[in-house]
Amino acid sequence: MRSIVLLAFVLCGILYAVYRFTNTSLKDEGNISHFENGLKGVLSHLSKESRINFICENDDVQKILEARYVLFPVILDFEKDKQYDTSLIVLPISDSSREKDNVIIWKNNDDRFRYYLIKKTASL
Amino acid sequence: MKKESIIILSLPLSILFISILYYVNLILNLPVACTIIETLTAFIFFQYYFLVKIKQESIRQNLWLKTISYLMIATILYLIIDDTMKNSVRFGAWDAWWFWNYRAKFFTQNDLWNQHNMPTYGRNLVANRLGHADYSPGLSTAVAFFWKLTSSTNMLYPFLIALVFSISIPLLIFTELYQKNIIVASFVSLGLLVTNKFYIGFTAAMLADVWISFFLLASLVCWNNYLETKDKKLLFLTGLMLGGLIWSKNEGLFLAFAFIAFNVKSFLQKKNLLNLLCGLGLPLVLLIVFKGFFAPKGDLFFQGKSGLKDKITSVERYKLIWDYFALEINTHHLLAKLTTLYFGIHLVVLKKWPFRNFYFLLFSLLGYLGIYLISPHNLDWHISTSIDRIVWHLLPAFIYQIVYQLSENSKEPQILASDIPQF
Repeated sequence: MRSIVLLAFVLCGILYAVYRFTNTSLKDEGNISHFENGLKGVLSHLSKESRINFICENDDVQKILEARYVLFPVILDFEKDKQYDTSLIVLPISDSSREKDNVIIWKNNDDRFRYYLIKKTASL
Repeated sequence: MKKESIIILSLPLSILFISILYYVNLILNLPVACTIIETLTAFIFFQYYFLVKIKQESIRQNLWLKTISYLMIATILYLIIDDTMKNSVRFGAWDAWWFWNYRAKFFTQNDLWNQHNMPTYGRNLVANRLGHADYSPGLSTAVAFFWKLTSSTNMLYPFLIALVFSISIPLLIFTELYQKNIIVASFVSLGLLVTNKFYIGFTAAMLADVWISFFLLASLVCWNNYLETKDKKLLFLTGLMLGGLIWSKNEGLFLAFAFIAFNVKSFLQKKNLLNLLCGLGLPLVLLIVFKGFFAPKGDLFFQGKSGLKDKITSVERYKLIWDYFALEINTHHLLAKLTTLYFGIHLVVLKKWPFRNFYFLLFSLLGYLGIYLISPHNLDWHISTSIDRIVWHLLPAFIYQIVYQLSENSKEPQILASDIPQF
């Protein structure tokens, strides 16, 4: 077996994979992609060292991890007993209860969620 | 060692060089361009040292063997890539994005690393309750290099890294075995690995477990070649592969030291030890720096001694571990189980003993299962979420070691008596 042919096979395989991944998997619209779009504007209101509270329906762990991933390097906590001056809230689109009692710094909606960055400690 | 195997080894090794050198440059606060220059230098040195200077087998191949080999390699590549793409999602498995790639984001931030230096890393990861922040940084620093280089967090790079490691496993087994027996080589690489949906799933998941599988297999391949040829350069290469093993995940540390312990007699000679340390040294030192200064303590070995005796003497825990293990083998690896059974019968009939490294792999498996025994987590949850990975770590190496012994059909290559120092 000639090494150069082996290498050529492998490189062709990798190029084929790049082509397919770029044209299919990268266009996936999963949960993280959804969050990426929904939370796009919030980073301009937060600094790199920010540490904020995260509130979502049913304390969904997957949501907080997805939000952390998207909002890196901001640190998101979800400890109810701690006091934070800023909270990020993600609620189902049908729930608009947060609009009233809070100082809203930033908000956004998409087809699934309402996103709020608010200025005082809040709990569900 | 075969030239083709060196070519296959050099692909994941290049990623290992990138991962290690990027980490060094991050600590030293050097620009990403330094990693490119250093990696290219290391790669060229590697190619020269091993492709030009190493003793290579020159076996005259007939046209039939050549044609079948090319067809097999094309088939292996096509099946892996095609099936992986069917299973692939943009961000990979849960652990890939929230653990390895989230860490990679930390590694792209020079200021997060250098403000008051590294404790920031541990503090931030712990603050964000990131699982296993104590794990070796291997995959994360490799991903971070590409992200930093392109100023993006494009998921193509983690995917390509996983793919390179995944295709290297069956290809390495194939290139090592095809001249001895092409049917066996094809059966192992295609039948046991590439057509196994479970294997393909791991590629698409983009996890570091595929690094462990590869480096463990590669360590055995290099070591067996060393035993056959006594070429000291292969000891250096073995050391490099063991370095890759410890740089991948915590489990790699256990496997690398178990491997050295099982072959300690061979490393007693000063030159052998020196060659091994040349390969293993840098990743080992860097890992000590990482674990000693930056990473938080791992939960497994810092759980305290309370309840340890109860865990070790609990029959239910043994039964649960065995049940999960048996279920895993019977569900995903039936062909591998049959191959192992055949190997056992073969040994009994011919009145032979397995080679030393088979015992090493057996010990590693028992060690892995033993860790479950003392796990501080809920055992049911811990096994059910990780048994598939630990089996996957060992499976390619197990299969290779079995087929290597079957194809050798002679006694185990030994270190010569003259190689061992007299005390």
